[in-house]
Amino acid sequence: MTTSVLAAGVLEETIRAFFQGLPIGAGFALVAMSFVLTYKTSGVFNLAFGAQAFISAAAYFELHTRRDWPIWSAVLVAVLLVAPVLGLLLERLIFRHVHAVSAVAKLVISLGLMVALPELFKLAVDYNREQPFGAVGIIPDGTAVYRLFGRYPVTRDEIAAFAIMVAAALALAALFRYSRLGLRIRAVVQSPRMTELNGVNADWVSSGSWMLSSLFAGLAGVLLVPTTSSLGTVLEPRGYFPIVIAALAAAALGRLVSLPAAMFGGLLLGVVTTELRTHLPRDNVILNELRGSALPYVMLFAIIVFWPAIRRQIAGSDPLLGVAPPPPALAAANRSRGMTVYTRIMALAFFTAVGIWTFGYANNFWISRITHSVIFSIIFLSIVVFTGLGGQIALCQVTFAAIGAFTAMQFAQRWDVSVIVGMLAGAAIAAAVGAALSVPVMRLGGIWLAIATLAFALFFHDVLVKYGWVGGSLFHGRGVPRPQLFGVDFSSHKNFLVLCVAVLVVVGVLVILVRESSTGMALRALRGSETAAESIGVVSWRSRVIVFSVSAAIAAIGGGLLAMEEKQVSYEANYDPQIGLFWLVVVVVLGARTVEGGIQAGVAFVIFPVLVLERWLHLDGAWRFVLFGFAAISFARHPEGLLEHGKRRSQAAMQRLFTRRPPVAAAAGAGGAAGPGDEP
Amino acid sequence: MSLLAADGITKRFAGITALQGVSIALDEGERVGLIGPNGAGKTTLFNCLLGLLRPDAGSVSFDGRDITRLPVYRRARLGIGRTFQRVELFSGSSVRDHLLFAHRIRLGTGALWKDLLGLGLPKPAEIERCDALLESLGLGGMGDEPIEALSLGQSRLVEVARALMTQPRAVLLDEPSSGLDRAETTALADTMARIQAEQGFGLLLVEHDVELVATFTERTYVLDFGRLITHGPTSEVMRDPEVRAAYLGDFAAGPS
Ligand SMILES: Nc1ncnc2c1ncn2[C@@H]1O[C@H](COP(=O)(O)OP(=O)(O)OP(=O)(O)O)[C@@H](O)[C@H]1O
Ligand SMILES: [Mg+2]
Repeated sequence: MTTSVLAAGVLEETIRAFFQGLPIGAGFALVAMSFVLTYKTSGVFNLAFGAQAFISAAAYFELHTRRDWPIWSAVLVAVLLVAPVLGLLLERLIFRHVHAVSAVAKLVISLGLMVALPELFKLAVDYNREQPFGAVGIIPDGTAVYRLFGRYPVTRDEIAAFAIMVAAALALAALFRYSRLGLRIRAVVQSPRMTELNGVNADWVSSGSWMLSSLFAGLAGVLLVPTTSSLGTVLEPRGYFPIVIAALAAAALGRLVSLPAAMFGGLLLGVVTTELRTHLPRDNVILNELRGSALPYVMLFAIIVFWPAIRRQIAGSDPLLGVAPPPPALAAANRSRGMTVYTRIMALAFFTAVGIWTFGYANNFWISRITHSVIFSIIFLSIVVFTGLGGQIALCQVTFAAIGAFTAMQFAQRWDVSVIVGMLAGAAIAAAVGAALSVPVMRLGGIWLAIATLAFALFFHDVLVKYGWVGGSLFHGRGVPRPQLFGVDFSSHKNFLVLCVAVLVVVGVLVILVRESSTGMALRALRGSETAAESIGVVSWRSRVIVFSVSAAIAAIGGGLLAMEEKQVSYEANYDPQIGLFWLVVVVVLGARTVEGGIQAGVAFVIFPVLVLERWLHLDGAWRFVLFGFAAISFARHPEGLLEHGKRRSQAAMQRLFTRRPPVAAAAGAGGAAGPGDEP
Repeated sequence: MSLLAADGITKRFAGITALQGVSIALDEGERVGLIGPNGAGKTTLFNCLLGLLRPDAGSVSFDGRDITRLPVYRRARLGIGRTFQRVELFSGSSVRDHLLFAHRIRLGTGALWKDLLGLGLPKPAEIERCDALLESLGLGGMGDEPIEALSLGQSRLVEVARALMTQPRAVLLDEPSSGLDRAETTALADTMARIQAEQGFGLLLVEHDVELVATFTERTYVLDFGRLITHGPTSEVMRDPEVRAAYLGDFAAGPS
């Protein structure tokens, strides 16, 4: 008797969770369909949909709750106008012009947009980020509760979300069936190269699908606000990460190519999420964490690693791949020897001048800024190693830096061991975590690798940091002492700066050694042509696992130093995954291929906002996200980085001026998917 | 027992049967040609031999060992070297780098700790070896050129050099002469013959240049629409009327 009552209770909970999961799944489905649409029509894996969803939602609340616009007009502007126009602009101004570049380069552009767009929006409308927005849906009286079958409570908002998703999916189906644009999009979705060869006007197809997918993303952004708790009480782009990740998981179920699979995948994941939340036992700490926002990350990771369709997609290639035009030749493919000497002389002069000023005249504020620059240069060398040298994108460098910082902290707090030892232990732990993480995902490479590492970073951020053995306890605080080493006290600002510079020099030299030696040779071969590299015996995944571990260790060393410099682990300020995206953007914009590029990025990351933006231009520091984010577009044409490109250009011009003979380096040939400068 | 053998390879792509039960064999020290009209499946067969494609049926063996399921890099390390019809070079690297990479990876001595201690940098002796090979292929003095600055013919030579640097026991060349003029082709053939005499590898040559195949190879296989239509000593194959009809006549009329 009691068991059947219990079973009935479980059944009721299950059904209730099912009805609560559908509207959330509807939001996932909308974003997942957006991913598929743009991926198939323009090859862009647009991570910025989260940002676009945020913009529509934020615009809606700005208009409706703060400016008291009626609901219908706020929806009209925020969703039906802003979203498609934004999509059209992105396609016309950016993605149309990078058609032939690699998927990874397009991913970098979308990362830049992900960083830039929300900040631009906030600056443009003077968005108040502190003020709670009140989670209002887009239909009046949305919180009113109905009982389905007299039993299962659902709100009007939830019904609306589900109904609108269904309507949108039906409209999309009808569009595909009956309109010319729809037919063309469908043709392109099925075989992009084929239709291009057949002369389908791909222009409107890609504009149309970008508008459509932006509309869907904007719709999801607004609809999900009242139905999911992960958005928090203050509307921030960060809140959309779990949603984007869940949508990615849904799209991945259909290998990023099937719209119906993306839709049903989204619904399925919505339901699975709520069911798991309902049924996971509450007494297990880890499972309990999964109940929170962590579930999407775990699901995405599992799908990427285990879903057989993804493996098959990587194995099978596009039959007409060879038909695609070769990537544009780099303006200046290689750096000449003269230029290297010149850069070294300039660098020496520059660093001498900065050194004299720092140690002789600078106040503590500037010494601290310069120390930060040095430390970020070290951290960014980890990106130089993995992205510049390995040619892959990983989005969890920030996590490795946090591991370094926390390990140093734990060693000092718990065992009273030198922070230096703690930092080195952190590097070892980060390397081990990197290896463990990379073994399953390295075989995938490209965008899947980037996404899987993002999922890991978010998982760390939402779950692992909360454990005492990772993030420390509230009781102890997150204080970190400055180190003492061989009897030398590094607690003064200047002494600590000297230590950081020494570490930077050591790490820089090691990076150069790795690049010029066997490991680096294998990686350069892989970056040039994976097929050819394997045909001479390079084990691609092994090389990448090694370089990923090295890069993790470097990031951890930098993270440890940063904690010592700030005398505490300022986790939210320094190691948030969103900041990690910005790190990557800054480094690839300025130059991910060289040690020098990493150092320039470190200096720019720290000094640029305070000096150029705030002191000289009197602008909000948030402009840095906008500027660097949009600058990431340049990565498509100049993978060597803007500064490096500028230097090569000016050097080539100088050479022409003096010798009246075109430099060999400038005579780039047909190839060149990735043309690096391989001098320090 | 042959050095490299394909046995009953069948490979289908959506709708097309690119290879239908093809068997070929290559011995050490031997020069074998593989000819056939465009789309006959020659490159597909190469890809099956090297592991870039998994055949739907059939097996590949090397030195008596079944390698059908081995990944590309394992086969390369066993000693199968190849060049690509559509040139696959390491963009962004210099000509010498290509040879250095191949040499290093062949040695398999690279370890991270050695690199970190500075023991992994290229040694003068290695550079000399690379330059010697470049010299013998007529690329002397081009070691420092960026690969993008090379002509198509030179790029093919670099591919050949890269394959040779792995000290292969079987070398598969996919149309090495396309993009080369007659003098360059002859020079390449002479060099290949000389290096082969030194190293004794087996050589499988896919070519549209009939003259090169006729003078250079001892045996020839002929593929047409994914089927092996004949094979035997090159001089006999070249006289076969069926071959002339399927391939040579077609070719003489002008390659499509
Ligand atoms: N990856 C692929 N997917 C689908 N079809 C393919 C693929 N690779 C080759 N094919 C098809 O298989 C057939 C054989 O192609 P293959 O490249 O092996 O011919 P080939 O003999 O090398 O021709 P060519 O002399 O032009 O180089 C062709 O019809 C080709 O279109
Ligand atoms: Mg071919």
